[in-house]
Amino acid sequence: MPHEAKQDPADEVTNLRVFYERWIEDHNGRTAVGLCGIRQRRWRGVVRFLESYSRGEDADINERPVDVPVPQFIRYCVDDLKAFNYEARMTQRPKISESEVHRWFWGETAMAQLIRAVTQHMASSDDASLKYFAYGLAR
Amino acid sequence: MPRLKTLSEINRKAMLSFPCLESDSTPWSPLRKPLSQSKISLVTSAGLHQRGDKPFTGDPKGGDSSYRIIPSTAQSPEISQSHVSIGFDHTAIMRDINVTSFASMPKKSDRHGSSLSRSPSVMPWVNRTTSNCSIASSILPSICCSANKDRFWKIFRKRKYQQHWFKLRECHMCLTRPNKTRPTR
Repeated sequence: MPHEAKQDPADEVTNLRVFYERWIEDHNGRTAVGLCGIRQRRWRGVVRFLESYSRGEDADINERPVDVPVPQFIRYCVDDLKAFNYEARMTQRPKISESEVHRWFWGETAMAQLIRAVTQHMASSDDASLKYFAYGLAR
Repeated sequence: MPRLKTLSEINRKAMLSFPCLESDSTPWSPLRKPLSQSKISLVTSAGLHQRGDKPFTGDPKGGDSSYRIIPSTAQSPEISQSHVSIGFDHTAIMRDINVTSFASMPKKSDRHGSSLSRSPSVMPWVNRTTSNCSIASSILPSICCSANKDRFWKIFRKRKYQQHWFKLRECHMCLTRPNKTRPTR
């Protein structure tokens, strides 16, 4: 599904990076990011990988461990990207409520649109395992 | 955690008809010594693990029944979460890991005279699974054996606990009905 992003999600990642790094400083190194194992400064590549996947291309990324299937790896990447955005936003607005963070992410970011596109591509597949991985991805 | 009334009809019916484990009685073993002298292991389904561990996976055939062990010395930046459930909001955990873990508990306990921080305790964390038999055959013995192997088997040989053991082994996922023999090592 073509998604109509207001902004390039890769640029969004770059713009939020400073807030995310401040989050790590403020929390003594603790972050929910880290499942996909890709360094946060390489995430423009992850965004391109997800975009390619959402277009139905035979997408893959070099950093994916050989024993982790692509759909599972996408799940890790999406979880990391969501956590990155949430932590950056909670640094920007320390008093923001949880529902407001959700509303901001799913209502205003290009990253959420990209995740929805990836989810829709998975869910529209005839492969039952892909549908399983799609379940709850965009939530 | 979503309420039943907020779920779709399909999800609500699925939850209401979920084959939960039901026991005829409650297995209860009272603590026989002060907490400060006890070795403690906690089990959670929060999908937590150390950063170097392999993350949990979403297995379409019934969740991930593996487990990870987190030593009591692990600090909160070393703990990560890979949980596939959409049933809870992760933002609270992002803000404070102690919502689902107790990364800072040993220090707090010290202030109350407990020796928890000096205990060589381990904290195994179990991710989501819908398979009872994997808990009975793999996870439970491993967890208990890591704490006190002899004590675990001693408890499960008692008649009053055997029904719970058998119940656990009656898996609603693979529909196995094991012979009701005494648990053996």
